[in-house]
Amino acid sequence: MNRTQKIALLCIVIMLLSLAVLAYMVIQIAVLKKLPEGYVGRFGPLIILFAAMFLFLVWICKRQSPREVNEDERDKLIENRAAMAALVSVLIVLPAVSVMPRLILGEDVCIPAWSLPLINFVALPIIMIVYSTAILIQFGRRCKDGNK
Amino acid sequence: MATNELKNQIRRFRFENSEMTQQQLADKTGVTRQTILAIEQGKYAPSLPLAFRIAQTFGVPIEAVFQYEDESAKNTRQTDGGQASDKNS
Repeated sequence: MNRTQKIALLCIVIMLLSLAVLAYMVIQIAVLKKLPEGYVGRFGPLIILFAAMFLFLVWICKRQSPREVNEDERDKLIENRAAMAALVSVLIVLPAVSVMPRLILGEDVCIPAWSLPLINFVALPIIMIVYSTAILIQFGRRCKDGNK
Repeated sequence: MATNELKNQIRRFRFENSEMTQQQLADKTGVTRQTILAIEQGKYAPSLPLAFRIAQTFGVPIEAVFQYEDESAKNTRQTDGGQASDKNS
């Protein structure tokens, strides 16, 4: 597994963990209406997130060979295609995320205006997951068309 | 639609060059081992500069390492050859 694949895998795991932590926080604050008791309950998920990030960074820095390059022409081609996939996903994810408050809270509920930009923070991990998944899929499939 | 096939002899040349590993070839040509593997398996068509670097590493001309086969042209040649031989006979 080369550096680009490792970073894509790291991105997927961290973004999924971030979404899980976000869901945990939202459930605690919005549904249960109280913060969890004790440090483990409050900061446990964040500690797990940072520990996972640290372990992945150590794994990424480990090289297969001392002269191994970080990135080559095939990696760049794959990243460009993944960026196109991510761009298309923006057009789908942003409108989908925008209707989420209505689906979750109902039609007659008011939400504060400051919470609207936060919707983008939910869309961002999803788009990053699409980008990273596109990278991993392309490394596993045949791509014969060179620099097309 | 034409189906193009870029064949290569990288594996053979690696073994002829004192059993060079994919990682050693990757280090010499400035790419990752995964890219060498993809080229060897025919999953990725390298750029011309990379193809030249691979050929230079083995000390052979590029056409010795990479061969281009256009299936549709090959089929056309075979058909034309068949017709020509029919005419001759």
